[in-house]
Amino acid sequence: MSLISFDAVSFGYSSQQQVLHDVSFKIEAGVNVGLVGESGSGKSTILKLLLGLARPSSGAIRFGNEALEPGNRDFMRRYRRAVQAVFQDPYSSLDPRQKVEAIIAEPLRALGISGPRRPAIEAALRDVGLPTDAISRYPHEFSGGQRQRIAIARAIVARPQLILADEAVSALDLSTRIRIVELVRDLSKAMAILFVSHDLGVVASLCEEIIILERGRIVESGRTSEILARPQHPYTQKLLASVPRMPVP
Amino acid sequence: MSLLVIEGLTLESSGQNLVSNLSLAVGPGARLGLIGESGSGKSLTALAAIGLLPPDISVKGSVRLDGKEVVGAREEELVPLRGAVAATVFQEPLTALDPLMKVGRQVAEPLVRRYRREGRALDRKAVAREVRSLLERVSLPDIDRIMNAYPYEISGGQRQRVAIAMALACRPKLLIADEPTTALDVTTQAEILELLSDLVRENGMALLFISHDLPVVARVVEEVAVLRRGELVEQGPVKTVFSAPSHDYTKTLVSAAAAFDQALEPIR
Repeated sequence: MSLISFDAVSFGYSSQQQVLHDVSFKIEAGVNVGLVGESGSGKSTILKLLLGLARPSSGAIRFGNEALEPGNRDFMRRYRRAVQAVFQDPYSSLDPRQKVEAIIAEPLRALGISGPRRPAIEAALRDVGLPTDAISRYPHEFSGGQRQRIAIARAIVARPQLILADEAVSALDLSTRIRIVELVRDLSKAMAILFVSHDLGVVASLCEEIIILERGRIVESGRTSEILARPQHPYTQKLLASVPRMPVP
Repeated sequence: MSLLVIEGLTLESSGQNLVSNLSLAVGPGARLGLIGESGSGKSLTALAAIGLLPPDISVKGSVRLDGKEVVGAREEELVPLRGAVAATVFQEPLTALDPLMKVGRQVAEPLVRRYRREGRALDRKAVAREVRSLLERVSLPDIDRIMNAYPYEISGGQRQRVAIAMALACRPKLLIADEPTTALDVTTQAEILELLSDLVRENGMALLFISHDLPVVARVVEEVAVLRRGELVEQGPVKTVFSAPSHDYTKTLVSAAAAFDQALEPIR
């Protein structure tokens, strides 16, 4: 049984304007999946659907063997415990008026997870490579990369099965980006990541599987190494050919 | 003689050095990449080169554009240099273009300035013809529609092509491009990079290309300078710097870029 499955999902803001067409894919436990596409490809819409912020116009999204029901509080509580998110901009995703402790504790609080919070928060901080004394500080005291570590700590504190990462390293400088990618790779031993990004290099270094989206349709999906080596769809071929490469010495 | 000569440039704001003792030169037809992460001072350097620094930044050292000193120059002295000597393409074409002006008129504006500069008669038809040919040169489709469109009515890649057409209209000796493809999709980026390299080569323009993205820089320039917190840490030919970096900071950048590049290796 898959962790998440999309079965012929379509979505439109109006009946004339369809932004996702017949999208089907699965996310298996422990397998990192990269969702790659350019602007207007439907990446963000898929994330919105996965976060329960929108419902498909047709088709079904399943979590395990249950249908995703954004209106069902009991279901959403279980779902959010299993599926957490990290966003692109660590400057806008952390509440500036809360201390790191409260920020990271947020899922524990919101999901009504019982038990002492402090050890869970400290463990999450250690997992993301931040000192435990960070707990009593505010977001503005941290750099962009450190803030993204805090956002990741918040996502993993309830020990989810899947992290939705929305361009989670795109706003970071190269030297910071490589360290956060390494961190995510380490963490993904214990959970699956859906890594949404336009950056093929990042996706290829993190994800075993890849889904290529173009204008709301999946044009190609499968094992990353195979798609990189033998892209079948003309759009995938164009996309791969467009990625600037380091010069050969 | 070099077109752009920066010597001992120090930019300071509220007691903090944003750029420290920077020296660079770009000769006619040369293509130099300026690489750096956020806060490296690369964009400030670009602004300093054309005398567009914010007033709260104090400037020491010298910036000469085509032999004329930019630091401390009055606006009237700078205006003739902008466009004629150096034209700039910025990162975000939506803010670089006037939202209330149709694309055709927007491209005509620097063109008319050049005609005046060259002492040519202002013939409306000739201007319209050249606007059209500039838009063709940046490979824009459907030129009649685009000339009559407002910036918001065309795509991001098309807007950046318009911004490049405006820079070309000036026939500058030096094109300064500050992260010109960072806001664009990968496939659009590839097209714009190719366009820029072709245009620079065809027109014999010099290029100062500013970016945080190493492989992007490698696509368009032959020499790179690496900036870190306002200091120049390394400079040399792209191949040398990217294959055998000497400064620790360059090593970190190159190895990070190479790691992401390696992950794509099955493509080759």
